[in-house]
Amino acid sequence: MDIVWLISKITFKQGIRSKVLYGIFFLSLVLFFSNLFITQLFSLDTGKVAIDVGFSVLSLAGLSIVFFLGIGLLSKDVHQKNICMVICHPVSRWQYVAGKFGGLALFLLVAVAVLSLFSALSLWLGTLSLGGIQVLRNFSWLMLFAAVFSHLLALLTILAVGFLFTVVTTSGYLTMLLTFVVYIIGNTLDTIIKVLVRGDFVQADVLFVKALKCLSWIFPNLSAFDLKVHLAYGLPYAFSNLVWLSAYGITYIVLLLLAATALLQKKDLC
Amino acid sequence: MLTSNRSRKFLTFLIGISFLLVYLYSSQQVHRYLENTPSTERAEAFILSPAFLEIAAGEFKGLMGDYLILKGVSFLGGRYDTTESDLDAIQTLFKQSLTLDPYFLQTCYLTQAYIAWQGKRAEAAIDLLEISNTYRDWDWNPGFFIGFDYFYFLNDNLTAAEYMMEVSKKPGAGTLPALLASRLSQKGGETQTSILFMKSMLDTIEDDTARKQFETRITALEGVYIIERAIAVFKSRYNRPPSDLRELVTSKILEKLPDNPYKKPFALEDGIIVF
Repeated sequence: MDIVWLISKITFKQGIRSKVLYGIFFLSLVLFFSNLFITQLFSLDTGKVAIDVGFSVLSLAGLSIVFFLGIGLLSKDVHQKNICMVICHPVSRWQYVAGKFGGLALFLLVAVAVLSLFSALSLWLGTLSLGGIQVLRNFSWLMLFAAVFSHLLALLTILAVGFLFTVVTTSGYLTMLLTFVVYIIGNTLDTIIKVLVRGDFVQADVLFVKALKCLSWIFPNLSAFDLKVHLAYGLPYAFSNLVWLSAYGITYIVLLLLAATALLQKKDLC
Repeated sequence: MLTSNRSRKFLTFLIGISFLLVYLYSSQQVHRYLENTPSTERAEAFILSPAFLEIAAGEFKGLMGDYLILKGVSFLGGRYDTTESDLDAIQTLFKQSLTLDPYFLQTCYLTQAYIAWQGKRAEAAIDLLEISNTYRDWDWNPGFFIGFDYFYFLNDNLTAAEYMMEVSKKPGAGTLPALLASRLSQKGGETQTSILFMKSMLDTIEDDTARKQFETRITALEGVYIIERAIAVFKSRYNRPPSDLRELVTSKILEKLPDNPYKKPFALEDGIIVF
């Protein structure tokens, strides 16, 4: 476990050194000021607009970290054989995968925490003239925390997908491309199925819908992690749903990391 | 060497200053040109089905919805004349925005303001407002707008009354929708329904002023109902409606006309009893 923690620490420090955190801090400031300005363009539901902007920036920043820092670092290790420097020591491959993921998860956690703080601050300031953050229907800090947590879980899921593709493919570019495709599918598959089932705009074959439903068991359902609407409109969200969502996300991540480790064991690295 | 360096620096400085002057002058010309050019901008919407936008927007649905609303509003706020094709585009923008975020109250208000009021497209507005009404099931505003559109633009008092009755049960609606519902329902020929509705609402009201308003309305409606039954008897007896409500008394169907709690006599206008 010490080795896993050591690799996590090193990866986290690599992240800090990569200056991405400065970019995130700058983005937070931009978000903070732009949110104050954008909310003034609306006369109703301004809190909802502030949440939309805040979480969108959170997503963009998180995705940048996952794609450029997370996948970039891992890809450099695996594809450019830097990993040999680590595994020539008494470090097993699962320890390497767990350590790398732990370090990047920690880095994501810090980045998301910084962005969320700025986001919450701009939300508070944006709604101040209307009577404060409590003007949002059924607003609760707990729900805000749940929304941020589920967002972090979604980012970690994409990161785990990136880990798997890094091991499977032979180039960083291909890894990014495939991970991006999974991100798009994960975010849209549920909506596509709903639109097809609703049949308002398109009529789809029953078999086709069933095939899509099967795919939704394979690809991560990232739209399930999106609790923005619940937060913005104070819609009821059962605590049990959050528990199941967390269990779904964590098990999906663990399964992907296990698969990545198994493939890495078989891979001829050096 | 020194002279050559100096002259090079001076030349660079001169070029820089020249570019700065040209920039300032051209910028001034562009501003002047834009100020004097009348806006030829027309409203534009993405020629994409709302379902496609819903899929394509991914996790940024809310933000995309906000953008579409801003796109529509910035056009409406910047022009004074709006053509039919502009309204078509605005309507599409609002529909797309509502598909992306059906809870957004801003879209609901703008639909009522621009599609129903300004565009006089009540049916199209109702279609969009129905989306808000379905999703914002805690909010009385969308249902109130729909009820109003049915009454004011489509002259459908009974449907308007149905919406007002539904709205009056929602939190924060106040007494106005219920009072309007009772009047519209009576105008639509459903006086008994109107009385039953008002009586059922009376049980839920604790505020004294509101209770008094409701009791007065119930008394008025009960008076209307007595007159309506008397008119039916008059019609079966004389095969024609009474030309005046006093005929109901002179023909001995009623001993006297009921008292109107609104301090004016009941009247018959276009076959409808007015109170």
